[in-house]
This record gives sequence, C-alpha cells and structure tokens, in this order.
Amino acid sequence: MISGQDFIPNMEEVLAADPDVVVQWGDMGDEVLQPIEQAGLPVVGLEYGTQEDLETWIDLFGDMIGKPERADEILNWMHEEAEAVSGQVEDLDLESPRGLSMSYSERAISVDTSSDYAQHVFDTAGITNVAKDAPVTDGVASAEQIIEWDPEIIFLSAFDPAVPEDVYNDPRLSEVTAVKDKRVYRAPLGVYRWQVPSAESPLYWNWVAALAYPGEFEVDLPAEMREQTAFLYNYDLTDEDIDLELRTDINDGSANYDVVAQ
Amino acid sequence: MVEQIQSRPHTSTTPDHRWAAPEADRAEKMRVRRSLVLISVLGLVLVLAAVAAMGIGRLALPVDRVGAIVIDQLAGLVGLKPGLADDVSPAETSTVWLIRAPRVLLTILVGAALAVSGAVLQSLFRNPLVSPDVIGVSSAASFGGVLTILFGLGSLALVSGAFAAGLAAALLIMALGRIRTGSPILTIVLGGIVVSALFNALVSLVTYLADPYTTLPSITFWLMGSFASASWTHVLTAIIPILPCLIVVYLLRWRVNLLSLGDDEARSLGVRPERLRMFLIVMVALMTAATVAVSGVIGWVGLVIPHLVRLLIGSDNRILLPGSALLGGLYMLVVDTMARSVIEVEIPVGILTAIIGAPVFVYLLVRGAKGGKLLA
Repeated sequence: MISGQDFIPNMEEVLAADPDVVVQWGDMGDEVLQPIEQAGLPVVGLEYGTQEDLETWIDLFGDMIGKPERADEILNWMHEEAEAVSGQVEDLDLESPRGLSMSYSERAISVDTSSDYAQHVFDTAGITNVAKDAPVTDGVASAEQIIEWDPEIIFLSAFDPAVPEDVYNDPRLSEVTAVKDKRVYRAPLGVYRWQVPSAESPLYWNWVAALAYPGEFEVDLPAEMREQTAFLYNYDLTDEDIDLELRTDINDGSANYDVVAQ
Repeated sequence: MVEQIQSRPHTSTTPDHRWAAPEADRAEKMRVRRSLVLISVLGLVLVLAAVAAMGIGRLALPVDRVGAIVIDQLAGLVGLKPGLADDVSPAETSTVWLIRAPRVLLTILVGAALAVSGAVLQSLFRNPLVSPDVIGVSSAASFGGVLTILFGLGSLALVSGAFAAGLAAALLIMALGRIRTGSPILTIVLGGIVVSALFNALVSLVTYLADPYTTLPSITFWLMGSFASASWTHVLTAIIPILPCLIVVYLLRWRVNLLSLGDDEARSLGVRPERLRMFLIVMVALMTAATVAVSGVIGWVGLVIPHLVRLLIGSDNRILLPGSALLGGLYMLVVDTMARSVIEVEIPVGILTAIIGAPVFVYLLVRGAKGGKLLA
C-alpha cells in the first residue's frame, strides 16, 4: 500500500515501485511531500478545488508524459463545452432556479458553498446556489435551514450511500420545493464521480443544466457520453454502461430524468 | 451572602444543643427556603426558555404562530382539533414540530443528564475535578458510535452501538471496582482512565481508517457533539434511560451526601458504600451512554455546571442534584439554540459549551472570590 487514507506516503513502498516521478497533493501540508523529496524523487504537487486547478493539472500531465498536444486537445474540448453549456443557458433567458448541492445522511446534511467546485458547476449551468453565502465549506445545515432556503432542485453527492428516496422519505424535508416536485438527483458515477473537478466534468455540466431546465436545455447526453468517453479513454460505452453511469436505477424516481437518460 | 450563625455563650463545658437549636433551626429554614426559591426560579426560567427556543431559528416565525402550532399538535395527540394553526403553512408546522420541538426537549434532557452525572460523580469521588468522562463511558460510547459510522450502518445502529459500548465500559468499571484494594476510589478512577485511554485510542484508529471524503467528516462532526439529527425517535431513545435514572438518583440524594463523608462514616450511618457507589456509577454510565448515543460527545457540562450550582447554593446534594439538572438543561438549551441559529451552518455544540462556559465560570469564580466565599 503506497499510502493510507491521509495521503502520507509509505516511502518504502514508493521506492520499491521505482517511479520516474511522483504525483501528490500539494495543498495538504509538508508531511505528504517532504518524505518524497528527501528520498530524491521528483514530485509534482497538485492543488485541488477549482476549474483552473484542473486545467493546470491537465497541462502538467501532458508535459510529464510527453504528450502536450493531447493535453491541449482536452483543454480545448473543456473550454468549448463550458462555452456551449453556459451559452445555451444564457440564450434560454429563463429565471435561474434555486439549487443546492448537498451530502445527505440521517445524522447531518452538509452543503456546498461558494468555495466548493459545485459553485462553479452551478455558475456554468445557470443555477443559483442557495448555500452560497454559508460561511463554512461543507458545513452542516439543519433541516430548518434547508426549509428556509427552499431549493427547487437538489443534487446529492455520489460519495454517500444516500439516494433521492431517502430525501423524499424524510418527514422534516417534506415541504421543500425540490422534494415536493421530486427534483432530487444523485450525481452520476463514470470513471469517477462526476461532481468533482475531473476530465468528465463537462459531462456533469451538461447533466446539471439539462435537469435544471428540463425540456428547454437541449443535449443528447448518452451520445455526448459515448463521444467523450471514446475521446478520453478510448472506450466505447454500451447502453448498460450508460444506465449504470447515470444511475437510472436510483434517479428514475425523480422528475424529468428522461431528459438525460432517454 | 454568608449566613452567620450566632451561638449563645455556653455556661457549661459541653456544648448544649438546646441553646443552639433555635438559631440553627432558623438558619436551616432560611437555607431551605432560599434553595426552594432558587429551584423554582430555575425551573420557571427553563420552561420559558424552552418556549422561547421553539420560536428561534433560521426560519423566521412569530411567537403566536409557534404557540398555535404546538397547542394544535399536542391536542392532536389526544384526538382534539382546536384548529388554532389552520392558517400556518405545512413547512412552518414541520419546522416547529418535527425539527425544533424534539431538539429543544433533547437538549434539556442531555444537559440535565450530563450535569447530574457530573454532580453525582463529584460527590462519589469527593473530587471537584471529576466529570462523566472519568469513568470511561463517553469514550467507549463514542467508539461504539464511530465504529457504526465507519461501517456505514444507519442511525439506529449508531444509537444502539454507542449505548452498548458505553454499557460495556460500565461493566468493565464495575468488574475493576470489585478488585479488593486498599483504596477503592483510586482503583475506580484508575480503571476509568485506563478504559478511557483504550477507547480513545480505538476511536483514533477508526478515524485513521475512515475515508477522508465521506466517513471522516461525518465522524469528526459527530465527535464534536451535535443535536443536528434530533428527532422524536431520539427523544424517546434518550428519555427511556435518562428519566428513570434521574429519578432514582434524586431519590438517593441524601445517601449521596453521606457518601461524601467518607466510607467509614457512611458505613456507620447505615450506608453500604461499595454497593451504593457501584449502583450510582451504573446510573451515571446509563445516562452518559444515552447522551453520547443521541448527541455525540459533549464535554464541559458535566464538569462545570455542578460547580456553578454549588457557587449559588452549596454542596448539599438534596438541592445540588435538582439544581444541576435544571441548570444543565437550561445551559444546553441556550447553547444549542445559538449553535443552530447564529449562522447558516451549525456550530458544533461541544465547541460552544466550552467557549461560552469558560469565561462565565471564570467571572463567577472571580466575583465569588471577591465576596469572600469559599469556592473549591
């Protein structure tokens, strides 16, 4: 095992693997970087969180493996998608729905605020983040606060076992607009969870926008997924794969899911 | 205010209680009256605070609506329909009845349980620095809880796990207490420290193994103490162990006084110190485990609230125990109401209890010292 859950590297394992370069998180303090530097290995530290960070990584990776053109291809595609999505949303000229990105469990509900990546996703897809001004990132909000914010659409984190059914069955949240309209969705899981800054992020932007403006925002998501997965990973998605990624089994109970699942 | 008991000069060499009796009687009556007044005032303030707390929160609601909702719901439970809250939206009803009401009750229960546990243990061990953590039950219960979070089991498992682990620690302490040593109190305290250390290490292990994206934030938040998940189920879960234990401990209040005289004195007055001690520790363990099960680990209340009450009315457990229960409940209620209302996200309650409690305690200590009272 190269490292534990806290990302501190097990140096013996790292040296045994004899790497040319080590990629590690650069914003978690010195303990995760220093051992690698001391062992004399070149280490690249990554900063996490924003779209700019993501694009910097892609650039770095391109340089590291000697394929900068490919990195540029990916970056260009991302920029095009970002423009396409926000452009289409602007053209629709509809009122921006109130949205909330949250991590739900019976114990506590934590919400994404303006400093989380979810804010960037919402901005691209034209949603207003009701939790934007909450002071603590990933802060726990009480059910009462959720009622007060009254989001029209809720996105659940794919990191948790919680599904939209759980939210619909919670009596405390029964009066929230998103729950009454059944617009609670769980983020898809492709190569990784779509909701974090990753190569699949443009697909997430499309998915979010399509659900935010059902029937108005035009996108053939399965076709996009096939195209982009082939472009990124050289893999052809089957129909079952697409269903699995979009978690149609979980999200089917929510309104309008056919605009993305078709 | 220090009461002065003036005794008449004695004309014989042996103290004559017939002469001193009327003064002592009067002083005693005054003391009892003062304590009763204090308890009643505390009780009244608690009730008012509870009502006020139901009207405070992130969702703005005028007090009369809150009252209407509560009355309607209570009446609905017995089958009546006064219809006072007909113009209130379901969201508001939900907020008051499903979110705030159980939370208010739960905080009072937990605060009372923790404060009484602390008061009892302080008398038992004749040590003012003792809190419910010293018998290791909170550490064990928190381990039980985080273990269930690690395995992704639900809320029911969390509560049962915490409670079961707390009870296991209590049994361990009881077993340790049976070991015949020269100083039984020291043995129990050492046993508690050992059990505490063991379970704290296990909690650290669980924290280390937890997924930093999903389980770890959950675990950290729960460990800091929180009433965010308060529901009527939780109130039921807490009331079943806590209320009977509180009543039993209250009924034993005079014997707890006797225990603080020392084992030999207590024995000569008809109390069986080892048995009583074990019994009280089990009561405290049940209450502490129940509080950890429903609200995570909340420190400070068990240690300091009994001292605050002592500052006001002295160490007599007959008043100290109900006083601690009421003040503990009130304090917890006030702190939690702040924790959930001040900003959009919840402030972990365990943090607030210490941050608010510390200056208040120091202030009272200093003011009391200036008045010439003996405090510790």
